[in-house]
Amino acid sequence: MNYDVLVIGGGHAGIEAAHSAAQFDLSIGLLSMPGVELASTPCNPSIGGVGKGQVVRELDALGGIMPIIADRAAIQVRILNESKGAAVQSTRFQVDKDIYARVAKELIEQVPNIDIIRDQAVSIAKTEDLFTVTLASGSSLQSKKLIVTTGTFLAGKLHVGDETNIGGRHACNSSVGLGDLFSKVKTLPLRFKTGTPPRIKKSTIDFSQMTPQESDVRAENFSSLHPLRSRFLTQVPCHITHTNIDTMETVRANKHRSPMYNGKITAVGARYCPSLEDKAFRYPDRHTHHVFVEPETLEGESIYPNGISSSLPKEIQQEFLRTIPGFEKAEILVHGYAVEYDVVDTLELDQTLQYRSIPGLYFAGQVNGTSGYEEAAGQGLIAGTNAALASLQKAPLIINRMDSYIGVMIDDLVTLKRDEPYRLFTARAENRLYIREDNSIIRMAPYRSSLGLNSQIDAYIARFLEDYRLLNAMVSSYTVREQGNSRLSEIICSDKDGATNALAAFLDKIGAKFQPRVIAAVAISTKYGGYINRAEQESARMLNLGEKKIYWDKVLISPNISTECKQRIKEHKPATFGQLKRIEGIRPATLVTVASEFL
Amino acid sequence: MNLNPGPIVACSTCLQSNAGLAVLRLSGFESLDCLAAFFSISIHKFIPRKQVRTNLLDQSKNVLDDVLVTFFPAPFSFTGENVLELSVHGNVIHVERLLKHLCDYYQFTLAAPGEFTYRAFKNKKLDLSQVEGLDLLLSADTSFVFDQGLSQLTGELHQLYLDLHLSLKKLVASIELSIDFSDDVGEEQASKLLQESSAQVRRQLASLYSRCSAPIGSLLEPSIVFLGAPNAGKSTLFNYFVGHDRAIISASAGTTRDYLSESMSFDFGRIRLVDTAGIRNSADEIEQEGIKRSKQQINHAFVRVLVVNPLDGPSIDTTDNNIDLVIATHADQPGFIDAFSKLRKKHAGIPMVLWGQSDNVTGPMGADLFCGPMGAKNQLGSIGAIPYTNGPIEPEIYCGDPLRIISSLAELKYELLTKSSPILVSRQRELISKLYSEFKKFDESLLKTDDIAIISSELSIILNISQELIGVFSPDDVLHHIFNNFCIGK
Repeated sequence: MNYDVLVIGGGHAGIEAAHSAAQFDLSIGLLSMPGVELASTPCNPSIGGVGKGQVVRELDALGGIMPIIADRAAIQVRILNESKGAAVQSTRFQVDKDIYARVAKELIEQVPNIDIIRDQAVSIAKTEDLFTVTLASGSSLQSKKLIVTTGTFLAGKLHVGDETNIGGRHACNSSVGLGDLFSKVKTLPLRFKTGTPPRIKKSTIDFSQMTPQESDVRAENFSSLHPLRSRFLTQVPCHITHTNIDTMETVRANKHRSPMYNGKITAVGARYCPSLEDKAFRYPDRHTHHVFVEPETLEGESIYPNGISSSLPKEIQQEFLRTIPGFEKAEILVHGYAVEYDVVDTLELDQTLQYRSIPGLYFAGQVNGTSGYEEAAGQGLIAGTNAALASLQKAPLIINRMDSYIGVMIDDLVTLKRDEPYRLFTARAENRLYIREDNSIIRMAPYRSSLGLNSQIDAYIARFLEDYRLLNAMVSSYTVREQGNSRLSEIICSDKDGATNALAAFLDKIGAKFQPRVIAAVAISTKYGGYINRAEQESARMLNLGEKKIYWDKVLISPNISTECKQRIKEHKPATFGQLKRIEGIRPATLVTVASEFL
Repeated sequence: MNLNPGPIVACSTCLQSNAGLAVLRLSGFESLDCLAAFFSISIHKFIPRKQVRTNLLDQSKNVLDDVLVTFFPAPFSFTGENVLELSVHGNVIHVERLLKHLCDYYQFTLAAPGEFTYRAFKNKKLDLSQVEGLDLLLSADTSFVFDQGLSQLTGELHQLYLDLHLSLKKLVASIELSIDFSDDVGEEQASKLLQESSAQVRRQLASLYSRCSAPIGSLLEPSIVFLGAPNAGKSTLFNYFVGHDRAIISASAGTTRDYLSESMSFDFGRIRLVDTAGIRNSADEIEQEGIKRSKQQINHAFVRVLVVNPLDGPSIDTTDNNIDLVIATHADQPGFIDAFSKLRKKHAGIPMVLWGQSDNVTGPMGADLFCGPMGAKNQLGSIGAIPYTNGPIEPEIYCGDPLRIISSLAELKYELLTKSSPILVSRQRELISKLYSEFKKFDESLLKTDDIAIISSELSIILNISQELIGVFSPDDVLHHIFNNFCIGK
């Protein structure tokens, strides 16, 4: 078969890449391993979260499918950081993982120009402008553009205590054969590691000892094409319990049997996502850690105890589990495991996620060393859209870090050297007050419209923009006679019920009808406007310095910079002082030297 | 700053006239080998950081001088490069000859102002605040300024800045923690961390800010400035204090057109005594320029002495200048008492000294006005003062030499100013003041809003300023400014 774009891997990055490329009337192939579901959620079954919720809404505004699937599979929804201000407020949906995978499959199968191929790639070759992928079945596929989204399957290795298996996930093969392709692709010198907790049988848990967390009816669906708040599925609570000294002492007593701590795994896990072993050994004085007890499906028996991922031997997992309130009689369905895998050196990628020295080859998702379904989907959309645009010889879609978390992530990936899995935090964004959930349509509209597409979401965006401009003009010019001719904008900003509620109440009173999302976007933008301006002004001077060009090759000759910093500069090839500043591990002294000698 | 990378040389001791010794400093040469022909002894006899005695030779092996040499191999030297210090005979012409010889035959260039320090900075032997400290120390006129320079050079003050920066980073981290990780650490712990770290920053900033609130503009180059209307007698006083006829005195107004200054030693250090041009409206261009310069001197003065002839009618408007002392001249002239009592009203609260120029001690004034009669023995005539209890000076000191009156005043002022050990470098003062006021705003927003995104946005502005304080982000003009203020050889 001959495709315009072939995607290897049917995870969150893969389906988003295939779906976004398919919008351009090209022929798309989606190669996925037999027996593995599309868009499966092997880690905790939730979509969204702090920073990540913003990504899902950006995907919505860019025409992605993750928001649609998440809404349709949601079984418990929450608004995080609600008390901390709109800029850092995020939505998180627990999803039924079976339904999630089913909906994903349905949606992809509905797209007429996507072929789903159930097979495994064993080797990949490139001749002229064509990639040839040889499959395990013996046949082969050809494609002009190739997007690799193989997740943890690249030389993946599973660990449970002393047992080691080849594979990228429980009961799945590893993509060993892909090693061929990577003889020319640079991977990071260190392998990354991730892990999961044991899955517990629901009927053996005593929920009465735990604190329930109900689904929040006020949370808004991710997709703009769905009704604002109505859910597709029955909502169920999650629960919270805690570890205690017995739990932690059990782990500590078995240090020698932990692959992470007895030297068997040397790969690096994420500091922000510690396993139970990490918690036990890094914080020897703390014994109480949250355990979020999340159902994996509505009907099934499997429960995901979030917060106690572990690769200890099976019997130890059973032992520590039973020390936790509510888990005294818990039975394990699947044991926790750690998986280590190879990661592409994303410094070799450009802003479209194309591998610079092999044009036409793209990478997206966990293979790029990110963690999280949302990060994967965000990259999938960028890689898929750009592969399509490139094959149509159109200008690429490059999203700025100043107006989106997707932009922050892509820029970080291609400019920062990483030594641990990458997750989006709001702290990574310089422009956090602007990059919010409420204004995702406003932020992404220019990018979406640059694609020249005309689907349902484009019509929604056009309407939204029109209403937004109208209401915004009204808020900034209107004065209210009953309140001493104060400006409407000032009134809503100082209202103790919050700007959104105040504006909604006002519009109600005068009988003006606007959709709630437009009201929220206008109200919150009005409230933050002054702060955003001030932050921009104050950082303009720093930015000035940041935009100054540096010639990194000259910097390397300087005797005044440590070898270690030089190494990093060589790897990153920073073009500006700002990029140099963002390289992790660059010492202040180096910045001073560069500032004084080279600017 | 773009300077040549090659070896540099300069005379590091001040050499405006002949002296016993002069020290030449050579930095940045590749190895001692290339200088072998310059010394009579073998370079293998040079022991790092130990003085050796040798002759200096010219190209024909003639002896140029008999000197002591110390070798500081890189990186254990001031600049971090290979450094030689030559203690040579301190004859001006001889030193120039040696410098020329090094430039002609050994590829040295004469060091530009501040170049040694710049190299030390580049090679991370000094950080920005240490460079500023060195500048203070080397140009200090008073021991206080010198001591602060030393404290900065040895890093104590810089350490305080680093501590502050670290606390701010902790505060930022605690806020980010509460946004991105509150699920992991729990709300309570996050907010406790926030309270603790903001309290620490508040403490550190308050302590640094208290050292920036005293006006110190005048402390760096302290001066006693005589100001007043033309022909009030400023130059006469100036000459009296300086002890010789430095200024041209004449009876015609506007004789002094530019300011004159002389350095005088006090217990706490050196002070410049400045005689300014009389301030008046003048059409004369040169005089206007002189008046302009004089005004600058007045603005930067450490002690301002207003010299007035009460008989001249209404004196110039001096309300803008903070006057420390009034000297009323012509105390021996008829009509002085009436005129003087008007003057006293006008400058109520400011200590006053009376000054008469003739031997007319009986004069028109009653003896009771004088606390201590300045007998006829005083060659310049009557000088006296009124006890004035409202001022900062105890009455009894008025009785002595007028020089003592002024020097006591200067000393008191000096003590008052240095008591809070003020920070002297204006770049640092400005940044600390800015940090202080921005942090106050931040504190208020912390009380006013729950919106942690806004709070953190305000904080990131503060963190940028603190980065400037520790010298990580210095716009290059700051660096240029700092290095250009050095003189050769430092």
